[in-house]
Amino acid sequence: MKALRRLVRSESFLGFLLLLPPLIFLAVLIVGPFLTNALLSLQRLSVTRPQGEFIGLQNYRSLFADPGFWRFLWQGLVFTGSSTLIQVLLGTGLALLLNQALRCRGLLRAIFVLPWAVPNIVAAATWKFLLWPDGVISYVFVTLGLIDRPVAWLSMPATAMPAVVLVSVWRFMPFLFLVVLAGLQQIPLEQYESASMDGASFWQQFWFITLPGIRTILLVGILLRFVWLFNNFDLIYLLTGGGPSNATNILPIEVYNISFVGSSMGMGAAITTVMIVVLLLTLVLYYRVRRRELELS
Amino acid sequence: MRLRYRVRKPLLYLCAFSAAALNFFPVYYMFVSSFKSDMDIVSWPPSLLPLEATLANYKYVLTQTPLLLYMKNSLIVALGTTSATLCFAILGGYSLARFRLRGREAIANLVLFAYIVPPIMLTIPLWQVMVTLRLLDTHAGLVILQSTYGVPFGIWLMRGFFEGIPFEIEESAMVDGCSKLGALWRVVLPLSVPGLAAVAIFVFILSWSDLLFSLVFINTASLRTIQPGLLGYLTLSGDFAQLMAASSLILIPVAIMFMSVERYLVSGLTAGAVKG
Repeated sequence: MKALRRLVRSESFLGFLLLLPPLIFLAVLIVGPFLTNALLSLQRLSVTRPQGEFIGLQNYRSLFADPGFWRFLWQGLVFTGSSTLIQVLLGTGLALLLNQALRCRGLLRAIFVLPWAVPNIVAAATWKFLLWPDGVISYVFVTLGLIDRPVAWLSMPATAMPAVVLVSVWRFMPFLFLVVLAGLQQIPLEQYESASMDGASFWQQFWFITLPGIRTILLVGILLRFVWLFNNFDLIYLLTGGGPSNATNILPIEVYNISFVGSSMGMGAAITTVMIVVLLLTLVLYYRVRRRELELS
Repeated sequence: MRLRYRVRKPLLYLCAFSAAALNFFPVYYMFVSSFKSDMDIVSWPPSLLPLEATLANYKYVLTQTPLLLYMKNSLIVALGTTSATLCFAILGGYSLARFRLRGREAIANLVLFAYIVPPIMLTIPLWQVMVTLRLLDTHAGLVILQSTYGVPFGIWLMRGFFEGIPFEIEESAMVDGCSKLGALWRVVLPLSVPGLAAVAIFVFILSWSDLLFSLVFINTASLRTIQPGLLGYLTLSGDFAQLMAASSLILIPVAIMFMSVERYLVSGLTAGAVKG
């Protein structure tokens, strides 16, 4: 009894007690479903056949034989990779700019992060309007003489993907911008002062002080953004629904169509399992780079 | 060196302000176009200001569409999701930051793993969970589902934030007679306002923006939130003036709220994300 009371009063018991609700949350709503999903992927399952029928690896076999699956996986990687890359470059550039002693810094920062607050449906509606054939984007391109006549950017296979990437960069860049800005503000000013006293050029300062200073936080930001974009369903679904003729179709949209429109949930579960394998590989890569980082510093 | 400096400064301003103008243009154009007439909205070249401003679009979306109902539903769900996520993030972040628990690193890795699980993966198994809990097609169910977006990131960020607060502050509060939880409530949380604000705004926007869960789990028309509610208008109507009016109405409350806490975001993210 005494031992029990001591346990209850001990610090780590309190810590455990506090940890319990979030742990249950994660277990029931994320880790549990992850395991269930793996089981569901081995079944023939649909809205009309909710009890499921065990069919082994059949779903995976037909999945890997389907060229559509590989195409949507590849398109997802192209979308995620290019959007993340552009966001990193732009976000870092803008953060470097705003880290200078400029007037109106607060206003500028507020404008740069504003798209973060724009709900997906608003972003989609606005950009559809900008990108429709008679919209502003067409007008700018025609005026600059880059195209002869207005283009329906979102409804042509060749331009739909770049257009979707553009919108996603606009919508999601603020996060990386803020992350880099936060990293830049961690770098002690004295480092720059002593470097310029030693006659280091702007580029040398960037290469030897700024970049090492933000590398860790930038790495985290890239990981978070890559994962988020790879899993993102909402924005592309609202913009194009995956079309035209699947040119912007990615795995999250495919899973939604297969599971809830086409009602083959087992197949959808198999696709999401492959998605998580891709993301786990990304995570492994991240840990590897980070370990090398830690060894270096 | 000094001469270069004089050239550099205006150049920096030029870059900064043109980037800001480009970045702001879509929102500006959305707002301006919401006052355009049916003729004006399709004019070529596109006009940067309405030729003659009209409120007809606002009148239409407010009286002829259930936009206000959708916004009310979204607000209920977003507030619920934000409070739930904050609770879990505080508890998880604090216990991971302050207590030497067995398996702490394993749990921290589990949190990161939870972040990478695709929301679309959760829909299928959670469908069954929601049926069991009888929460299908309810706002309470939607709050639980949307919380899965923000809880892992929230725990992660708050852990970093709490670790940045010196333990001595807590200790001295406890010497003055606070319990451990009292110290958390009276001392640690007030100091964590930037982190909490960052998590809150982050989650609120995620919820206000959610399409996937609301689309899959809400069936009753009167319970619909903004995104699935307006999905049909977006794909079918093509009346951009009305869409822009609806968009302005949806964006403005969030934008105002966002701007009021925006300055916390940098410090909130600094503490949370630097840790990695």
